[in-house]
Amino acid sequence: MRRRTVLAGMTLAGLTAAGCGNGGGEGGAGGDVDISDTEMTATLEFSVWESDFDWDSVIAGFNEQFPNVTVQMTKSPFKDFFTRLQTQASGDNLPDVFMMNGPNFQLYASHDMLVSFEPVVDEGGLDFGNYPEAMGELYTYEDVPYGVPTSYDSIGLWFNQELFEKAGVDLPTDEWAWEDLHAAAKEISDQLEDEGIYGFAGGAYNQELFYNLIFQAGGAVLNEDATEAEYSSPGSREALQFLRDMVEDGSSPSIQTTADTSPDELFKSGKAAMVYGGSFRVAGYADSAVADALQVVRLPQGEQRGVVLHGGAVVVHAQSENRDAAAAFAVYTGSQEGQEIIGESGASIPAFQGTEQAYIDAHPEYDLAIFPESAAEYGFEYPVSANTQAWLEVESEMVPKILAGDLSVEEGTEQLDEQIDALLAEEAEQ
Amino acid sequence: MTQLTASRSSSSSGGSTRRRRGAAGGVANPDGLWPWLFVLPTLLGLAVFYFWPVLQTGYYSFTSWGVFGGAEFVGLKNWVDLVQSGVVPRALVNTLLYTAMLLLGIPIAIYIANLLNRPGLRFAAFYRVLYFAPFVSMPAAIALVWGMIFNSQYGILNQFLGVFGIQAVHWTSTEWVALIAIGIVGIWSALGFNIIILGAGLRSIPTDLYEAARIDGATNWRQLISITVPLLSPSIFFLFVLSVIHGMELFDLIFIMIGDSNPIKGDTHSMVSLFYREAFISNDKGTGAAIAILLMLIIGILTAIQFWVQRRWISFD
Repeated sequence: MRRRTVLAGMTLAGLTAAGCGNGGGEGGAGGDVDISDTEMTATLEFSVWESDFDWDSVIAGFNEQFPNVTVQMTKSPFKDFFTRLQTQASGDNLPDVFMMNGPNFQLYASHDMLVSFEPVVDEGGLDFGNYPEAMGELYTYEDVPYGVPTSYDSIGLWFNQELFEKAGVDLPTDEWAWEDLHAAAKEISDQLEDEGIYGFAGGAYNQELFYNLIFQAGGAVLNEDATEAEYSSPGSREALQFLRDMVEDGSSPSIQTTADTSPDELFKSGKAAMVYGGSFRVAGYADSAVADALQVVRLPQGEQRGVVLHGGAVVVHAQSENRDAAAAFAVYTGSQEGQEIIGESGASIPAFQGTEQAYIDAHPEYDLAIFPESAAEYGFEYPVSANTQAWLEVESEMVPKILAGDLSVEEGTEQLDEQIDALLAEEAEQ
Repeated sequence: MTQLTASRSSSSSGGSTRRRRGAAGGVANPDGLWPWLFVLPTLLGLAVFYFWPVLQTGYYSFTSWGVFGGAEFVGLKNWVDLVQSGVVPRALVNTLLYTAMLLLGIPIAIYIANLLNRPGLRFAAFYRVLYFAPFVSMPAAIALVWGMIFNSQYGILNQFLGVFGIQAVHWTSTEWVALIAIGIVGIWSALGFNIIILGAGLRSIPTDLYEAARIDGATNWRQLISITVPLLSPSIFFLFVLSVIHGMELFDLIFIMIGDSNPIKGDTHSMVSLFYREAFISNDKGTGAAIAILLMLIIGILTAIQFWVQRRWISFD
């Protein structure tokens, strides 16, 4: 472990020295960070996207341990956040410490812009065993951890009990399999057709829908080292075919319909009896007209159980002049104490296992415990590569076409793999 | 009627003499460098914020630009990739179709401007405000509201068509139909601006021409075709040029109305949305630059053609 750190440090130092003449050369650029000195003095710039998290309280908690470090927070809307970050990175002007998400993480990690947390892990300051495994993996690039997980989203099967009763169908359970989902959805769609109600609101979301099914069917989105796409693997095809069958026999609305009215909206307006919904949907569902009729269970299982996990992390700029203080702050946001503060908002599940209670208690009427439980038991890593956005765009153009029946599953997934493989090969060249 | 044609031809020849005189004045410049000094601030701004970036973009289209900057010269690679990917023709067809639809908005605007300009029309100012409101609204907000109107499940348009027994149409998720839907929104939101420009043109047409026409027994329609349209032609030309440029730059309506789970997303790119996809989503700024340059060339050519054609049909008076 130690040797790898040194090697990684040397490689990083070499790369940054070569790549960036005016970057911070002091103290071995990109080298080890040391967070042990609680008396260190620094002023940190901390960039976050707007969310319900109470960062001010997190900073206050941090200052009890590190009284001489001032954290200045900048908030920007999520949709601008990464454009802004990219501009700052291009101008060698990244904040000392900032929020990161899965699709963008490897872009920064692979360009040596982030501080490795390996030394902190080695010294016991950070233990990835505290977070769902998939979250730790998401923020690990070439075996080096670069991010401290903040919170995560997990997916469950939400359903409307009133519609089930109306159609005379048994309620979903944690033990459901795909076939049960399909049969119930078909039955409800048939029974309540006159009212324009669907059994299942599918749509074409990746994280909330088909990634889960792909993993449950034993398929994959990308191969292990993210060099090739695997949409045409048998499991992936099976998952897409399953969704397409649901659309074709009317269990789920047409993809054109869900393009106009999202599955989430259909469900909230009582036009769909079931939906795959993220843990982050709770607030919206609890606010909807059908709130009292709703409940949530684990996702139905395919060949195996599985749920996709995605969430944000706090990362530190490798060229920051206050690397140590920035790393100390990042580590604090992921500590049990920091995570309990983050969990207080109840908007999202804090990543530190055991601190989810505030999220669960925020809406005792729903069985929210299934979200952290399924995440801990069988969470799959959200698929990413160095330039995730590029192939996500291809995916978002092709998958709806496949599900809508404009392309056969075989042909569509082959085209997907071909186009995405080309993009991944380009990444490798860069 | 003969009288009318005579007055028209005389006025148009008068216009062209004036133009010639204007051109001659520009060549023999007795003031030396002074005029340049006065336009210098503007010229400087243009150079720094327009000409230089255009040149830079041209250069970047021959480079591979890393995600975080650092351009590396790659010759024609971006251009070759762009041709090979085969996405440009469809985006160009979509963009041109939309532009053609926007041009349809001009006759509509002429008709409405004419109605608004009727002598004695009550609440004329109110109508003008009403028609102009879309132009000062945010395109994103417009796209959102129209998205609701076009919604296949709850949209008011389908509800209305349902009254006549017409099946629900998936306005924004059916190939080609979505383009028409976007075109309708485009026409609607440009209408106010077109009407204001044409209205100003209308008020500058002397009323005695209409009086003479009425004495000659010309119908309202005849007056519109023989007096209003020819004398409005400079305004119409101006709107033509603007509409073409505006149409070629179609982006926000597509961006908002065609969402991520839409099966026709890949078939409904415009040139600018393609540029956005390459430059800001795929992080391939070099190819993005190539698309931007291509679009600039196309707009330049279209505009040049219009200026060439205008000499044949516009009367400057």
